[in-house]
Amino acid sequence: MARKAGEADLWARIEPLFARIERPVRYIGGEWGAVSPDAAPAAPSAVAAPSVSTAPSAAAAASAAADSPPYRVVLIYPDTYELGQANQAIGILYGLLNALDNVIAERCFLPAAAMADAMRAEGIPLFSLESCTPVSEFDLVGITLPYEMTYTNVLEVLDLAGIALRAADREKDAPLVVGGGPGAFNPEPIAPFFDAVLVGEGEDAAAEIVEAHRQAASVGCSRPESLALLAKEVSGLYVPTLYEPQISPQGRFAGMRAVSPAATDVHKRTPVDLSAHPAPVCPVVPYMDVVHDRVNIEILRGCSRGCRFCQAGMVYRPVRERSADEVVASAIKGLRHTGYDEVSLTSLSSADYSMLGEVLRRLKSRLVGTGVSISLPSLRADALSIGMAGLLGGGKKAGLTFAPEAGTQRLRDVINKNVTEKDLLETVQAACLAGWQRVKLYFMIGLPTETDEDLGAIGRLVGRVLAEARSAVDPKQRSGVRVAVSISTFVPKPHTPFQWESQISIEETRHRQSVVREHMPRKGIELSWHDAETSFLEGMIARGGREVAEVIEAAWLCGARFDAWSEQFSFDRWAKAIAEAGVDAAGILSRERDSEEPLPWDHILTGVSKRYLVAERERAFSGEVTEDCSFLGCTGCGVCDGSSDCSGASPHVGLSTDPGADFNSGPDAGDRSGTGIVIATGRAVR
Amino acid sequence: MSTGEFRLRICYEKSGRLRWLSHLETVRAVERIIRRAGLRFALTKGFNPHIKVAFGPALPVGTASLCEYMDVWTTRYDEAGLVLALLQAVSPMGLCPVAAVYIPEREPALTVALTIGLYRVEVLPVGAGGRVEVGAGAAPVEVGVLEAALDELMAFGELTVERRGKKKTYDLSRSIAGDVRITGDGGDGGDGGGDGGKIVVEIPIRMGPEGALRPEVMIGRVLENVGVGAGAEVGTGAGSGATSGSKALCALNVTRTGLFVETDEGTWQRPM
Repeated sequence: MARKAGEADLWARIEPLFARIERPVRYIGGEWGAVSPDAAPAAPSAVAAPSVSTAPSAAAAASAAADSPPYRVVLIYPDTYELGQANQAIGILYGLLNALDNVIAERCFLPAAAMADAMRAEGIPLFSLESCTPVSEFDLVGITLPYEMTYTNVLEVLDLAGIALRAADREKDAPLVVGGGPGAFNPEPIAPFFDAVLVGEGEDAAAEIVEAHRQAASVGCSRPESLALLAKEVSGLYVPTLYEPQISPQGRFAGMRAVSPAATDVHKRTPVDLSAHPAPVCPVVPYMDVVHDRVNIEILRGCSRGCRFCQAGMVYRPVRERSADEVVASAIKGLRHTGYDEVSLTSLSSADYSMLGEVLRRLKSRLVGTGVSISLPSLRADALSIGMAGLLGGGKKAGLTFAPEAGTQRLRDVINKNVTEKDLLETVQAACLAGWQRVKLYFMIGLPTETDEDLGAIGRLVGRVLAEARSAVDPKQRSGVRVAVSISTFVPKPHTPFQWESQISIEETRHRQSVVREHMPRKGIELSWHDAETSFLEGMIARGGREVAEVIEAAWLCGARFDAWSEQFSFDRWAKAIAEAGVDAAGILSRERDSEEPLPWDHILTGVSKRYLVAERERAFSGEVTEDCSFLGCTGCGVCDGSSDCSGASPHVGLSTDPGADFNSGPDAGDRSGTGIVIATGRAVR
Repeated sequence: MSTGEFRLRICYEKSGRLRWLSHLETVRAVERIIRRAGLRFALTKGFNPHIKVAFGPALPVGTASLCEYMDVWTTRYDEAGLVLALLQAVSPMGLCPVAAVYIPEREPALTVALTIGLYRVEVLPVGAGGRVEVGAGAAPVEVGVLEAALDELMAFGELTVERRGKKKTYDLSRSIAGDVRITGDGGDGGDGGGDGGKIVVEIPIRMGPEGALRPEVMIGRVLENVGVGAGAEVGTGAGSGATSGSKALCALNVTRTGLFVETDEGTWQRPM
């Protein structure tokens, strides 16, 4: 079948750019598992031009709804292919939308800087991978919000696509621009750029958005009418133009005002039954070497460990599991359809999956002699985890990652990181006896109540881990033992018990880094820091209100993009943007909020009650830990209220897949909070 | 060879958008095709076992091919035609096996055996806006002019190429393995470019352990010598014979059309 003339034309203009740029494989599409461009009929958009009719393609004619043009969606990850293609949410939504009648979903990623520049120079607009269609010609443009430092990339995406940056400036025929993902839990800093933002998990809502948007188009709604209809019809869909932030005379946020009857509190979406949404049978299999390039089976969604700094642990409740049968069947099917040689069992905390042992044993026996390996990316620092890792068998031991987060037990109690030093040392010992030689430890600085004693204790703990590891390995291999230490700055996140706390300044971050360094062993470790200036910007955006959008736009205008790539990041651009926008960025970080005061994300409801967050904050300051409700009874967070499941110990209900829980986002695996330990176990299960 | 292993030689093509895959990307993609096809492949020995497979000489990014070769060792003998059909069913467009045959284990490795690559370089006219415009008029250069410039370069005898800051000089009498054919409009023998405005150059290149001269670099240099910049290559990766700065008048589209074993008698044989 011939492609639409205009699309073929665009490809003929794109291909000659490849001689000038790196990694053209990012832009060619055509992967196994991708929808064929021939299946994307040469038809006008369903919404933008409903009056134009063209001859439908043979494939479309066979479908029941061939009389109307297909609804076209493009799913965009605001970073390059090799990062975005790994995003499980895009994979899930891609499969789910393409399965809908008369809906076509394609993908698009932000071109690398050199390609974007070449496209601008040649007047080539941002295009979809499958059919080379300009992004501006789609009905719906879905953009993932993986984390704060990708927000200038969102503007780069819109600009390259030729779509007005601000929703208010978009014409009637412009695509509906919808955001979603972890960033949706405080949508205010990007609110002006989106027509709508979906809060929570997208499985059920995606089809509802398509349906409501089609419906609005069919009755000829104006753009504001369409948006009001979408807000009304789709629970969890936040339409920013229906709300107006109120600012007090002191310049503080004073609550949201509804400017339309359609503006209500936004309740996050949570599909209760994950088995209704099985893992994609044949996800797209990239040609490019991408991160997490393997079959990913989500075994568990949500985490009830209750770490007080962790947003994912609060907003993706309740915990939901997939059955062992489903996990095993999906893994085998996925491997067969993709040809991958690795399957990963993903979640926020895989050791909490109640049937992990059974699943590993069954998979291992099914995969004998195939050279396929199984990996478990998120385990906890306990002996059970090492036992599970041992089940994966021999092979290369890539490295073990643990996240004690703080150096002293006192501070770990404050943040409710229920891992003791004894757990950690025993786990390291077990791992090293089992053959691992590389250990990575994650810590945070700037945590509430932190003192120099806590900072110094980080280095001492690292020293004990190093000693434990050295004593456990074969003496001949002792010199090969390495402990990598990664230290990030605590950024208080909305919807957590620490959402009211102050964040340390850039200067204080550097000071505390120097205190940590003083007490760190000199040999056998590799120390890395999260950049203090980046943490500052993350903090500003994480808890910022709608005024922060001015800063993001000004920064992008100053040339900021790919801010998560250290070689492309420049704090000067942002400093200039903050000054231009007149926003008190330092104030957003440093001010300790009163628990009674309105917060810019108060209209976004995650199900965890504010009362619970306040109580958890108080328990933090009195050093009281809160147990995991999965094992030791309800802690009253509010998520399960009204459901019959919460009477007993386990909130684990049936599981589905999570577009929101993008816990592997960003080049630095952005928000890894909540991850107890990460075991990239080795290879072959033979 | 281990007992019970069978060496299957597969010829596959690489075309369309997938010409932009690097060698490593191609290897990975083909391994996944083998797994999807459910072949009973042999595994390599060692700590990190993977599919036992060997590829022929790497194809530059951007160059298409009608005939790439790989050997895969299987643990079960299935009729070659059946295996081919299984592979084709799970191959993406543009990376598709076209022939399969069992070969004796004693045959030398593909990378050693294949020393001659035959290339077809299409010289395409470029219109306004950098678009390739075949069929829109005259060729960027006349066949006779190109032939004369090529003869001149061959008589000079060597070509120095700079790639990533390193200079390398090729002895053309060795690198060019036979006659270079230049035809107008897709090989119909017409002079002066024909209606399509396309010139086709067929060029055999001798490959060796020290690497091989890239055909588009050679043709790019010849074009440059007659004042035609090839700036907007369609089928060539960075580092080809593009003249920077000058306005591109043509684009080059490169396809490997044959890979051969050079016998002691100097004849060329296909590897299967």
